[in-house]
Amino acid sequence: MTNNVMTPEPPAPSHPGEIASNSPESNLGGKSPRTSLTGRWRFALRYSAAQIRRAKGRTTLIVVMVMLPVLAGTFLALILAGAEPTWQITLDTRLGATATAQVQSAAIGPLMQAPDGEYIGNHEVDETTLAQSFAATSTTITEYEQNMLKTLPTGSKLHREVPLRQLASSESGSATIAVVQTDLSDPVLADKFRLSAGVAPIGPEQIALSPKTAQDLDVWLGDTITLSDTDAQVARGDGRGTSSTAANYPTVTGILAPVAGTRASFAAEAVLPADTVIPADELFSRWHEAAAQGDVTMMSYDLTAPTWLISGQPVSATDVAALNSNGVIAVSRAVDPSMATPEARGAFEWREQNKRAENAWLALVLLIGLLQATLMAGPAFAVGAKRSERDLKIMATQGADRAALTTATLGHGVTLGVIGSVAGIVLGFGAVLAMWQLQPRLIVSLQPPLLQLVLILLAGVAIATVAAWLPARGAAKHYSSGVDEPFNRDKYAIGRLPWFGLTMAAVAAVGAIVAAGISSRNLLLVSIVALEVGLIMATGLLLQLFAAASKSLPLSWRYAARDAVRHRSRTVPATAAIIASVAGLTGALIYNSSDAQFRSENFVPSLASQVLAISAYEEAGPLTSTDIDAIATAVRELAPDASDPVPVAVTTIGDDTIMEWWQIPPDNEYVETVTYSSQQHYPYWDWALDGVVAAGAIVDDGKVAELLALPNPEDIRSVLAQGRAAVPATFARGDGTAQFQIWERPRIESEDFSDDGGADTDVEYTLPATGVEGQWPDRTNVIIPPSLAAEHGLETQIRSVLIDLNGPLPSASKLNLLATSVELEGASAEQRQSGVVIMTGGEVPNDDYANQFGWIVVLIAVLLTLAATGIVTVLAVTESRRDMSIMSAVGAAPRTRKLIATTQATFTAVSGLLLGLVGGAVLGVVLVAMERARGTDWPVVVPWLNLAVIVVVVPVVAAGLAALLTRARMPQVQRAE
Amino acid sequence: MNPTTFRPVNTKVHGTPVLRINAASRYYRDGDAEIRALDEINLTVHAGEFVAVMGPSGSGKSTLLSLAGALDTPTRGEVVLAGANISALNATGRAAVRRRHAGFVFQDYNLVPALTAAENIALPLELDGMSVRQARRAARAALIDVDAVELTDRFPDQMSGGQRQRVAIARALVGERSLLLADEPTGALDTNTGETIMRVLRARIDAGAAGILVTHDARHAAWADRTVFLRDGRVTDETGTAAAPDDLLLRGTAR
Repeated sequence: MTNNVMTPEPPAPSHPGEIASNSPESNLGGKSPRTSLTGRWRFALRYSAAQIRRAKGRTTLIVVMVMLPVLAGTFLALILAGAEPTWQITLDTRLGATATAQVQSAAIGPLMQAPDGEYIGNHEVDETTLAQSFAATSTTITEYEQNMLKTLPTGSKLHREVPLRQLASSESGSATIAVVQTDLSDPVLADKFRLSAGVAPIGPEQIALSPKTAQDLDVWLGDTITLSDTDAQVARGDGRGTSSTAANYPTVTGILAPVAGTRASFAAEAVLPADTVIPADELFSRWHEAAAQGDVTMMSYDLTAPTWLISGQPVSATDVAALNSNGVIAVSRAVDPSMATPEARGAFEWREQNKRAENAWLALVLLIGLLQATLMAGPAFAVGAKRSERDLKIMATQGADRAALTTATLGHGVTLGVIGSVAGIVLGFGAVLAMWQLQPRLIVSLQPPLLQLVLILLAGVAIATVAAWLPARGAAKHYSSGVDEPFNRDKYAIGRLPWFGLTMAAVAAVGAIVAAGISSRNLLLVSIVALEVGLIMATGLLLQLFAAASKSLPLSWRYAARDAVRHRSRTVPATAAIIASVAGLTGALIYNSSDAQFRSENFVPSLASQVLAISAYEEAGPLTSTDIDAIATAVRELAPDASDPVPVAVTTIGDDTIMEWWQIPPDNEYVETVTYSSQQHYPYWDWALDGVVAAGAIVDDGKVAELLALPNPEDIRSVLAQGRAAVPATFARGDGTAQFQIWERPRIESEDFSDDGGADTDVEYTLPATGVEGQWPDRTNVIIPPSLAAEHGLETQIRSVLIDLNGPLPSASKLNLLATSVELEGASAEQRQSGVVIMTGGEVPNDDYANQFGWIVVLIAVLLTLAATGIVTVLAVTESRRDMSIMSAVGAAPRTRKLIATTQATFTAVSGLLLGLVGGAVLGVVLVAMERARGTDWPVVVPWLNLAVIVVVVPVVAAGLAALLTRARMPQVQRAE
Repeated sequence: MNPTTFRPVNTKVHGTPVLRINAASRYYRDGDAEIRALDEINLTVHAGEFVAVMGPSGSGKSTLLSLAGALDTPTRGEVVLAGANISALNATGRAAVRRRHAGFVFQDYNLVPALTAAENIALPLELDGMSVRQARRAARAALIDVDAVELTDRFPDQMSGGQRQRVAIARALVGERSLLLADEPTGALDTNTGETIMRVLRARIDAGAAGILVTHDARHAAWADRTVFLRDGRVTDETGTAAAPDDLLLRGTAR
């Protein structure tokens, strides 16, 4: 088709360099002056203001489109920036206003820390170095402090803090709180624990509480509370119970003030006078004992490590390094995060990597969000440009050049972008401020990230500007077309862009497949982005194909398809938005369901269904018959039909041993026989979510086989009856034996390291064993018959019992209550910790997360698709007013308008969904292939129900809304005078 | 024939009445004021009869056309189109009357841009439930009648003004439609094309349709069998038979 315009082109010059006689240049001395930049923009902004007044609805639509992502971005940026304390707030919280540093005992040996105090132990250190640290050689807190002062700058002074956890109770409630015992008459400490009301707790039986703690306990100044150890009480549920230590009954004398710049961050939840609950030297002794055994986490839950503030000279990075080599961490005002040593940066690189990965994903999500917002704002600009067509043509006749016409439309985009962005940022701030008032603990401090906010503002302006760009380019064509409408322009011709997009999508799909094959995540990400962009560009082609195929369709469908193509600038962006979002979300759905299915198929129960494994914590020692009776009684209160408990005997950890691992050569696979999991296993992670409650091999005659969901229980019993160990088939050697290596680490008895307990020992056992085929539970790899254990001198203990409930599992909360209600007689109150451990593991896990994720994805897809469809339909209905009046004149009934609006909505939704689903299917399969390339056997699972909901709900709701909201009255033909 | 010459006067006897307007008035309210767009109009148009309506702007020509084509209903009086009193019909009923009995031809063509020529012509038939294939066949026949069959698959954007108007005429009289209502059909066309279009219109009327032509141009009104003059919503004069342009100009401006 020729593009015949009403205004003739100027005749071509007859010679190179000659200017045609009727061209503007002929009278301008050979120059081709453009309209002035300021003049263009001045007019553009004035014209934009006029358009805003003239088309309030469309203006509102665009402003909202820009505002929503900017609002969300501002909200997220402020929340993320505010969720993490700034370095200053970290210092204020840990050091207060005066101290130069805070130090804390962490280990006996050297460690490496980040400036914020996070540390990792140095296990490479030799015994001599370990024994020479002042932490190892200090036997009292005073000695420890003197040694520490030697490491600090001259003139430094220590101000002791003794943190611990306590159960605080009042008549109204109870809460476990972080308490600091310290001397608030010391100005350095008083500067850290400032008060907003009352007086400092300096005298006996006094306490200062944070407002939150006071609120939780419903107490205020002058009220008395009860403080007691948390052992075996928190888990009890009612917050009360017996305690191994005497309770304290302090009176509230002060309310702590929040750290400067925050609303709900406090240096402690409560402050007591020094030595109120536990004297500092006793705390140090307990810490030292635990630390000497290699793990301070073995300390009581109530107790934390001794801590000090330091005043005097600044504590330099060198001082911090010296403290680190003695097992002390230090947070110093003089050492900020940028001053971390290369070693520390290397050691904590994972934190940066995590942050970078989070930022990359966040950037990807934001990028896609911006793309979506731009695509959805585009149609409104396209309609605006079309409405302005006559104005622009008139401007062209008055001398506006291409740049001026482009600026006129683009200026409107910039104006609306600025309005929407500013509104979004203001509302985002408002939302965060409101949240900070209502939920102050969610945001540590309000720290507007200025750079990010500027970027968000620019992104908002970019959304509208980019959305206005294509319409602006279209508008600029009026430069040469004059006022009259050109004819013979083929509006159904397919341009080059859609073909390019289709090619790009195809290449990207191949790239994604290759990426899956070679397991290249980077190539996959690039391919996914290219696939989405390609699909967006190819959208016009899809619409044109639909239009071409619509000849035999009913009138309303034909009209909808052709109208969509005629107004591509309006329909393509919105359809592309649907395609892009549905493709991405469909891919995510397929990946999610395939993952869930894979985990479900590979689930190996660690217990039989409806069976509880009840174990004592290691510190509580073996279960006695009294313990087992108590367990049985407690269980029967919950499940009257429960069977008698079946004790599980495991090989003993000797008194002189603190660790014992069973391993099976040659791969030294661990044998952890009483590993029950209350959650599903992740086979490709090679570990269970819940920990080991007792190490050692099960010694049994086979009665536990069914309860432990072992494969082929009869075979196992038969093997055991022969006096042979039953092991997985892969572990049995050809000579009818299985080899086990038991690695024992001796307990270190002496606190001064004069006796290191001797070297670790490896004991190898070669037992007669028979392999039993089938899928054994993770890491339950051997059952030894009692006779064989006795023959090899293996002693056993009852560490747990298995109980078949003969009924459904109680709820998690009931099981928690059961766990806390059992009191074991064999352990002291301190050892008992939190009662017993109850585990389940027989049921195929109900993958709530995958389900919820799936439906959230569906909801997002439905909302995005409906929003895009709604925008296009509203604009189409508005724009089709003239067509409707023509149809009315030729006899269309009033309902025709509804019918056509309904069809347009359905057409937009269906065309977007179709390509989106196809693209998403490719994406989903590629993502699954990527997992397969990593050596797993993922199935491709299409979540038909979720997809069906999208496919059915979106068109139905879109059509329903269109039918409901479109007026049935047909407009009258306006006579052209 | 030279397009600028005038047709011979039609002296044939007209058929049955297609449109009867009896004492029809159409009032509008503009705030407290009442505007009488049409006041006590009487007009009957028979099959094969072509009536021109002339008058200055605001005289009520378009309102008359709207009433005649069942786009609007009279405030008083009655309009009977193809035997149906349009005042007694609701919007859906009036739409059905338009689909089956009346077709409009507008100055600015008013073709649906998204539909081809054939589809535009088939529009009323399809809206009335005819199958796509049958409607398309009828549309093609209508295009042959206006000598524009080559336009069948073209979109309005791909046609000249004269071609568009031919398509509009074909649509106005497709199927069983018997009343053609033309509102300044040559207003946007050059003289030669305008004459051609008038010839096409006249030919379609001569083939048995009834027609009303609203125009400012006495030369085009001269193609009609008679001319009605409107001013301020009332008929001020009427030629009994076709009149020469000069005579029409004289009558139109004399009042």
